[in-house]
Amino acid sequence: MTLPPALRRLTLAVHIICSVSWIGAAAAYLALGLAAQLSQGGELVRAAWLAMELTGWYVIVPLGCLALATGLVIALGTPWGLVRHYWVLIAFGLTSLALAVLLLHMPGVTATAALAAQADDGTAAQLGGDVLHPGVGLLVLVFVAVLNVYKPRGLTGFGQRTRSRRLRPAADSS
Amino acid sequence: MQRAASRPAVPRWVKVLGIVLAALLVALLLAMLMTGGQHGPGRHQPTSLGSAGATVPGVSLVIGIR
Repeated sequence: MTLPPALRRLTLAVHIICSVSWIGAAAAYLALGLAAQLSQGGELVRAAWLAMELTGWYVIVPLGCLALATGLVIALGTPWGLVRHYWVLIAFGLTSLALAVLLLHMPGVTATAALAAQADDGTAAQLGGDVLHPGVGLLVLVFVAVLNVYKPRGLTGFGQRTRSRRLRPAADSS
Repeated sequence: MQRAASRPAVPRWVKVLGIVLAALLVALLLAMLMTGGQHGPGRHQPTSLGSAGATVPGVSLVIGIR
């Protein structure tokens, strides 16, 4: 199935906006996680965890879901395909992995934010921050974005067979 | 020779990426083994929250102080 040009452009626009926003939101989350990690003040740690929970559930998770969904639609609705080119397949795999880790990670963030909300300043200050997941996640997202821009060559076995089938009738007729 | 031509080689950048990702995965698994698998939020929970709060990260921490 091929998307009509107008719908393809709309989906691509939403995909770019969501993907880039996901990177920005992850960077903001990492700043909060670092602040909580480095701070000795209970108030700042508490505020950071509450902000991380809200940012995570209401900004990062929806953006991640939308970026993955629109990416899938574009891949399946254009000649690029999902499994024809290595860069598309790898970008899809890494994005799915990042989203899965995010969804598994967020309940822990909610629990820690609830703990921070109830704890006194001294206890909240001991909660620490959240650096590893957002840090690695940000690297993965940036890598996927670079992959999407450069689109390095390389057809998968399936892509090669599909191209051969498309070229064969033309070769036979000549 | 013909077989090699019909089955295209995997691009070098894919091979390099695969090796890097495999190395990172091994490093991650080793790090998780060395830290006892605790790497998420709540791994630095204060011990002043009681035994349930100190030992079980995540949701049970909240339940532990309620």
